Amino acid sequence: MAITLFAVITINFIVFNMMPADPVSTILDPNLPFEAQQLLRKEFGLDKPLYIRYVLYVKNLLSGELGVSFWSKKPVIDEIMERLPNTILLTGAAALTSMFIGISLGIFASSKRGSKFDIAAIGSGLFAYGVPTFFIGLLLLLVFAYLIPIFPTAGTISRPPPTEFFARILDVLWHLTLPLLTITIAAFGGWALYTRNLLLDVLTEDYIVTARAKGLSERTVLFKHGFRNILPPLITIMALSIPGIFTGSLITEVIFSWHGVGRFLFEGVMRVDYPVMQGCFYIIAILVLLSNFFADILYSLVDPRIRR
Amino acid sequence: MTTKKAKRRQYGAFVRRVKDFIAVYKNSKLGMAGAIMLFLFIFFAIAAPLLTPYEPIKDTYLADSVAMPLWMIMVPEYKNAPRTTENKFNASDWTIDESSLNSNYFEVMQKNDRLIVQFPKVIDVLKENETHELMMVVNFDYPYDPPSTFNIKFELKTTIIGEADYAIDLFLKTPSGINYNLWNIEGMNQGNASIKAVIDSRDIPLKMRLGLDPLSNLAKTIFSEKGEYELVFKISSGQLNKGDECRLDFSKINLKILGEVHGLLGTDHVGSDIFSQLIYGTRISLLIGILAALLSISIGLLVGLIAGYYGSFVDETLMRIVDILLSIPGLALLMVLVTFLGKNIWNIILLLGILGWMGFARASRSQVLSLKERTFVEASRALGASNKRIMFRQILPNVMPLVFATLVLSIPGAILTESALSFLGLGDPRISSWGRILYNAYSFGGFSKLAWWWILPPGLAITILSLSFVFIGHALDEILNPRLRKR
Repeated sequence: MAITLFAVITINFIVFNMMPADPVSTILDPNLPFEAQQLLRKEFGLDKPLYIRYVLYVKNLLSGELGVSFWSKKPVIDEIMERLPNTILLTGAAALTSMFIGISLGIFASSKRGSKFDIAAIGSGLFAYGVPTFFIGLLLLLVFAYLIPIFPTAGTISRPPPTEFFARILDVLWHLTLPLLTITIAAFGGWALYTRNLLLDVLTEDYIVTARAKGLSERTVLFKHGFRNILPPLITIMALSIPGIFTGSLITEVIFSWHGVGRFLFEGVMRVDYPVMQGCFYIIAILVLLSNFFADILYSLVDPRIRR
Repeated sequence: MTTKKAKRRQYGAFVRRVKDFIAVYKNSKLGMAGAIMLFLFIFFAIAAPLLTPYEPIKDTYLADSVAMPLWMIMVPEYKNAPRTTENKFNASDWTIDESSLNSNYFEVMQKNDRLIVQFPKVIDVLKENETHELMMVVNFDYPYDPPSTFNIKFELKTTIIGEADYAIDLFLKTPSGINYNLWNIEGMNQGNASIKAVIDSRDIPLKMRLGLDPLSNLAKTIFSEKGEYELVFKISSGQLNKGDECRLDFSKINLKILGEVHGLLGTDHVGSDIFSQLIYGTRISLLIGILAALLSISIGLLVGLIAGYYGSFVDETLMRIVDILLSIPGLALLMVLVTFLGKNIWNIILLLGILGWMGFARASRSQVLSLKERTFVEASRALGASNKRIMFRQILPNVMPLVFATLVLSIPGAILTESALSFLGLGDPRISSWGRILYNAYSFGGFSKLAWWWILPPGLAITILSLSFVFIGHALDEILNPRLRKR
């Protein structure tokens, strides 16, 4: 994980140092006197050799020093911290609901092969492959926010926000519905298909035959003997799908003007605000790393072989 | 001799294999559905200029902005929705109002398409404070509901000798007889001048001059009636001295009423044809999907071959790089990189290829790992074959089935990512891609106007094209990699 973190920082460093021109000349007025430019360069540490700048850069990013936004003139880290809870809420909720729906559908599908459930699982899996997340979002937006205006078209919370605690929560949930639905619809099919295929594989194993021969109920066989054994590969797939979930939530945040890090990155890109772009990319990468870390812990929990 | 024969035999075997393959492929319903859809899209891509007469981006204001599809007129509510009507009035279309013509004073001539009015014809008819008027009239029919926009364009060349005093007014007269003075000019300039007149119904000073509310819709006010409208030029001349002369040279007059229904799928916010954007977008999606997938598969194959074949340190390093790249949110990095490198279709293809090879590198590596332990590899090594030869001549052909299936299966990923980028406004701005249509619909009011014909077709096109590749890839995978076949 530490290596990946350094890799992310290094990629950041390379990307933001291969800019067409160096930061000072792009940001500042070119008519500034040469001496003043040199002074600024010195102040920003741009006169130092590359490796020292790299060390400084790593130090800064690790300590959360992400610079100041060109646009709002506020520290990027503050702006990101303000948005981070929203992103975690949306992404986390979407990951949980899509996994829950997808895995349940997959289990039912594999227990009744060839049934309607099975066809639904395969169909939704293929569908998830081909439908762009943002198109699902746009459709939901068109139908449930514009055609039948029962959900808000944009935002995370009403302005002004309700003062009462419960009303506030309800308001956030009301705003959350469509973005959450978008990511869930886009992602659950993949889970259903994975679960179904993994379970079908496992259900032909000898120990399943043994369990059935023992006279265990189909339910016990399916959950205790079958599902239990597909958990490790399922969690591996989960870890692999995490960047995809964040990508999906990024674009969903843009569509529904969700006040999160993904939309902030988009705004940074639109305004060519380098510190914002850099900070958001860094934070999203860290979120992915952390989620992977949790997936690793989860893996060791469900796979007794590597518990020690 | 023998080599020729062997070659022919080889060729025959190849043909037979292809025939066998097609026969097996035909059994896969999903595969056939995918292939048919793909052929349809390829046909659209190739025949795009034949299918639509419009340029997707360059042709603007073919109709009003966000016009509905033409077939919406079958809905009774929109039966009389305004159609785009373009009237070009030539010199011969104008009739001179005889009652106004002082034949001694004005001379009206036709020269090609141009209408020339010259005065005074005879100098000595001048009297103190006398004014003369000439009225020219043209009729046209307008049978639809009130439109939102119209414009009139023409060019006027004036040649004045002396201090000729003239004024020109352009009136639009409705069937019920209301006159709107849309344009007027009073010329005193000596010598030659050329005036390009553009009258736009959205022009606020014009509305104010007509005494209308600046927020009102002039086109709707004027064309609120169905029937015969008159366009009238009134040329009036004031006092002229001896030797003064005035020559007015009118070009064709172009009156365009922008329709609110257009083509198969209506228009976007600048009045461009959405159907042609959709058809031309097929080219972009196919091009980007196939090229990016080819690039990423090539990189992935190379990395997989090297990692799997050499093993140990090389393998470890490469796979670590793969792990790192796999845990980076691709779209976020793409957004940043595209902003730096420039929004250009080739940059996008390159980046998609470079950021998309990791999955296949893993898959091919594991394939190579098992293949390199096989006896035929051992045999060729015993015969003294070089590493390169073993990799590319012995192992590569055996990885090929996996390559074909994965290539097809990774095209939708590239198509979806490109359309996501374009949807975020980071696509090539000179090209009409499906994602860009959706970006326009999202950014320029397609949603608040409920313009479903603007939003659904591009999204469905992306979905169907991606799905056709998924279906084909699925079918290929089942045929070419029988071990992976479902139990």
